[in-house]
Amino acid sequence: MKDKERNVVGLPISDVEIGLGRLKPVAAPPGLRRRVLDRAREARGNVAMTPGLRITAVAGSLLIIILLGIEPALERNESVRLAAILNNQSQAGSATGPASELADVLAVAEGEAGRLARLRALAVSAGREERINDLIEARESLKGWLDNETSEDLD
Amino acid sequence: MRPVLDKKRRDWGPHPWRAKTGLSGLEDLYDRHGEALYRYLVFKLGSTEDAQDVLQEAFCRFARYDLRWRLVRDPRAFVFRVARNEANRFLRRKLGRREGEKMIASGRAGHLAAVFAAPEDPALASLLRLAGELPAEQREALFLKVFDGLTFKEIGAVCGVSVNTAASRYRYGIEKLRQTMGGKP
Repeated sequence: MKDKERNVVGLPISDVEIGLGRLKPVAAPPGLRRRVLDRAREARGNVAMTPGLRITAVAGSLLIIILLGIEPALERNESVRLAAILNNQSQAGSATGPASELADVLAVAEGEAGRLARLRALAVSAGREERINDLIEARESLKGWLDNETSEDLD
Repeated sequence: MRPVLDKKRRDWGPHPWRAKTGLSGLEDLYDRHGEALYRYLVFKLGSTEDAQDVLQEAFCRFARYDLRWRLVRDPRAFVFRVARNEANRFLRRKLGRREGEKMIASGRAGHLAAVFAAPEDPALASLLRLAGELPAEQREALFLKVFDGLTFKEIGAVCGVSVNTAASRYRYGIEKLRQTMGGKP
């Protein structure tokens, strides 16, 4: 019974881990610590960027990425706005002036109802023209911003 | 190794780079883990010379990991993992990518006998020989558990497997060792 509690190499079965723990590891060669630390110190000295510089670099990179991401969105917005402005202007260009239209209305000999309808249309058109004028003003304020015109400041 | 974010730092002692004095942190790190890492690298590479070279490389890496240290939750598992990666890198470099990969995968590089002085006790000598014949991953789990006292969680982190896998590898290794030695499991 006693023999059964021991394995073929003479260790009790429950002592496998303990047996392994009794093995003596080889010692590190003398001077290894100094060599390792010297080399590490050298590697540390050769690091291209200090931690502070690294943080700054990372922050800068993030900023650039964000700006690059935002730019196309802004550009798209701007082109939509410009397209709207230019579109309205061309419509305004094709329309005749309100004064001549009024003269036409008064000159044309037609019924009261017809004249009233034309006057109403003229009023609506005049209102639209105001909007067009606003858009043209807005475009004027953008002038030079997109065309890289020279500054008007007197230096 | 991908460091685990330190959400709840446990008491692992002073952080290697906390004092920001540079080398004192490294010295502290060496005093804590240097010898164990050296043994582990001898086990992984089977050569004391190669282990010394790789240990130096690993410490160079630690020296460069200034910011990453702040994210490490378990420095012990981390340093073992870095040493393991460095050993694998060394094998690839030394043997060529293909042969190195083969060597890493087969685990032929795990040399228990190289780590331990030949025991005078024949029982221990047999035990060491039998342990050296275990499958590579079981041998590694056994080595890290018995000789370096790593927890299963740490062994899992070092070997890139789950806690359960690490525990199973260890358990199977021990069982196999018992069976090989003629005892019942």
